Amino acid sequence: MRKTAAAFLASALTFSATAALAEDAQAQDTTWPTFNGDLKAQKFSPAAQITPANVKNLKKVWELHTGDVSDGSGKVPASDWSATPLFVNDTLYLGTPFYRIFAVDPGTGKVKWSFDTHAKLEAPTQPEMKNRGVAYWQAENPQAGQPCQKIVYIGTMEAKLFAVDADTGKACENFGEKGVLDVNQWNRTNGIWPLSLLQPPTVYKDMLILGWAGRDWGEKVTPPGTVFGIDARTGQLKWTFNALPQDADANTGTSNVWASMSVDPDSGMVYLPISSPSPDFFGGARTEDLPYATSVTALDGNTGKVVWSRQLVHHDIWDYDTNSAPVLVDIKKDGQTVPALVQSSKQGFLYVLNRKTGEPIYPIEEKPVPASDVKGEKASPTQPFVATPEPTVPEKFPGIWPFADWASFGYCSRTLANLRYDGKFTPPSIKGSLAWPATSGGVEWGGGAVDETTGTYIVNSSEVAQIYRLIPRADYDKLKADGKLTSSDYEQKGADYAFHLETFLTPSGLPCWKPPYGTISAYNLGTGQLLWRKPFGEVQKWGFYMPDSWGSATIGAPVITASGLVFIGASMDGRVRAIDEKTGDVLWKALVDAPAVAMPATYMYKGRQYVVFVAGGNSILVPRVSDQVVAYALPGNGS
Amino acid sequence: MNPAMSRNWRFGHLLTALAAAIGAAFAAYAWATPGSGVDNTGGALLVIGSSILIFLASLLLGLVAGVPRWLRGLLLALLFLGVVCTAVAGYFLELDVLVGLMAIALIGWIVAMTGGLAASPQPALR
Repeated sequence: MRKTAAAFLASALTFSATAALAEDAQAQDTTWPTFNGDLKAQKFSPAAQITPANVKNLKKVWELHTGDVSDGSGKVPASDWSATPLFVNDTLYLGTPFYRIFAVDPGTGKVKWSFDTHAKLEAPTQPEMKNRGVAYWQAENPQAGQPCQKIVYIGTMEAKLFAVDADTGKACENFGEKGVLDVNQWNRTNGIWPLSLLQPPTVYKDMLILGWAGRDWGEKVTPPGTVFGIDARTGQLKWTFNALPQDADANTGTSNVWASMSVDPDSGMVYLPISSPSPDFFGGARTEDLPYATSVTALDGNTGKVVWSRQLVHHDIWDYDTNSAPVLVDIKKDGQTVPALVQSSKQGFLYVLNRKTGEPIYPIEEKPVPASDVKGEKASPTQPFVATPEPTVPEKFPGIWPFADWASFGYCSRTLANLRYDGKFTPPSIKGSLAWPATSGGVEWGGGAVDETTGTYIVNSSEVAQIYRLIPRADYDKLKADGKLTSSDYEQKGADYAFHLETFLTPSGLPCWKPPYGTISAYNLGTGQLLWRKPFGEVQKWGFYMPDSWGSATIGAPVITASGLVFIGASMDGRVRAIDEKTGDVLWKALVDAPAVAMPATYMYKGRQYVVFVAGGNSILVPRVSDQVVAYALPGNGS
Repeated sequence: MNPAMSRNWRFGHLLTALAAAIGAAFAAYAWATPGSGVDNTGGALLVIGSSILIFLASLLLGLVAGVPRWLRGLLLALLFLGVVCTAVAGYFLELDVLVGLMAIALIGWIVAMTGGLAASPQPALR
């Protein structure tokens, strides 16, 4: 009896100790220190307080409006806010589309300080005022009493990079010139527009790695893509990576890195998603080999030298920018651990590569693709195709949606009959080509998220058909002289052809192709197998929600938590959702003021897990914008 | 109160009018509130308009006795269509409260019809 009692007591003590340890682990603060949650761009949080069982109880705990919003009806262009908040240094840091920084109490949403760059509220390179947030750096051994041992950075559309003390909100005088670095000083060929700093820099050790955005649909010759390695304390230039050969400067440009990057902290390699060259949709003047254009490229983070590069689209004439940070993950495959990366894409392929060598882990096959029928254009005879993992977008156009065709009195089928469509990679043409998937994706700049413990990769993807039509220069000039240009016509100045881009809709705005219009998928990276795929989000027209099975075009990205939840905004309907990682079922949803096209951040602070969404909107989805930041948590202390 | 009107007729229409009035106010609130999911949308405006029309029509039928027979019949038919269509619109706008209110409005309409069938309303002055 005594023995039994002792055993019981020992078990109880062990259980209590284990429970206490588990609670401690659960209660421990976790951060969200970078745009993608960590340098590997996994978008994974160890926070596990919110679970599939209790997520239904999630409540809004605070809300903040920054005031930095425009619907574009006045002098200020519309705002397009995709900033993921950072949680680090016991503070939530936000960048706004008017280029201000807010430092916010993570538990209450109260503003600690704000910093105004006084940037011009103009959009020289973009249709809208854009920002995707801020970056954070701190010294390895911060010196007490010294300013700028922890720095928050924000870039502006005018190519100015600001460094601000993370504790006080004061400019860091030693960085650049009194806290401001003019990145445009390194624009080495022409100054037709500034190197817009919309995506925050990637911070690796004491280095800022900086790409930029431009306008590659307006002109043939544009600033060629560059990435800069900069001293985080001073702004001094350490190295430059050029994506294009210098002798191509007269014919083309960009192939810039406008999206976020990832870093392998163990090897020090930096992974760049490199975009397409300019002009976007006609390559007749850039027929030379541009091996880094539309590629994923690995650099040595200390020197900026190329370690390997893999081109994902040859001679890109579809604007298939590589547009998101590759997700770095160790895959357990055939009993071995393989250092991999997963590069999502607008074209719907998921390229799974060995991140040390760039070699495919799942096969990439060069297949013949249609030739161009446009004078002066020479489309690549082959393109790389991926069969495993299954692409996020069906390979073939799903066909005309009978309801839309009926409702438009046959407009959809009549239009399709006059378009060129020969499958994936059908080149743009003068009569008009159907692009499936199109420049809007596929997967957009958020990319996917991975739970390394289960090997599950989650990604949201649009299914959108667009029409690509080249306009001979003389015809474009005539349209311009007659005042008949539309906002869908792009000049491609200096090229033989201008360009018309439109989504394949009926005159009343119904999609002409069969739904779904957006999905979310889960893959087992160890086998490449698709685990589940569900329509994602809801289409909304004039306020009316369409059936769930239609899904919605999607911009933004998921984050995964250790408890097996996926948090995501990213849909047209202005809802934020929690999804079960195992099944894809929506377990919780809430309305926010505008589509939350920023990926959320989740963190533990003082024993409570928060999920924070920025609901800024993006006119590509719907013309609804906001300045709302909203935090959700479980009621009480969350335990 | 007009003694020529049956109790059910009047009660039914007033119930419909009340539900429609609350529905219009609720839809207007949703239209004006950021984050409602239907703020500043044409769909919300549509149900505000339809709810107001239901309110006016049912008020007319419930309070005014001298409505000509042909107009009464027309309004009754339109009321039914309006209530059902507003409920359907509310369903697609995901305004569950509005759908519930339209269900109440429909009950009011049915009650009024039973009253009408039991004791056909007469014009106030004949």
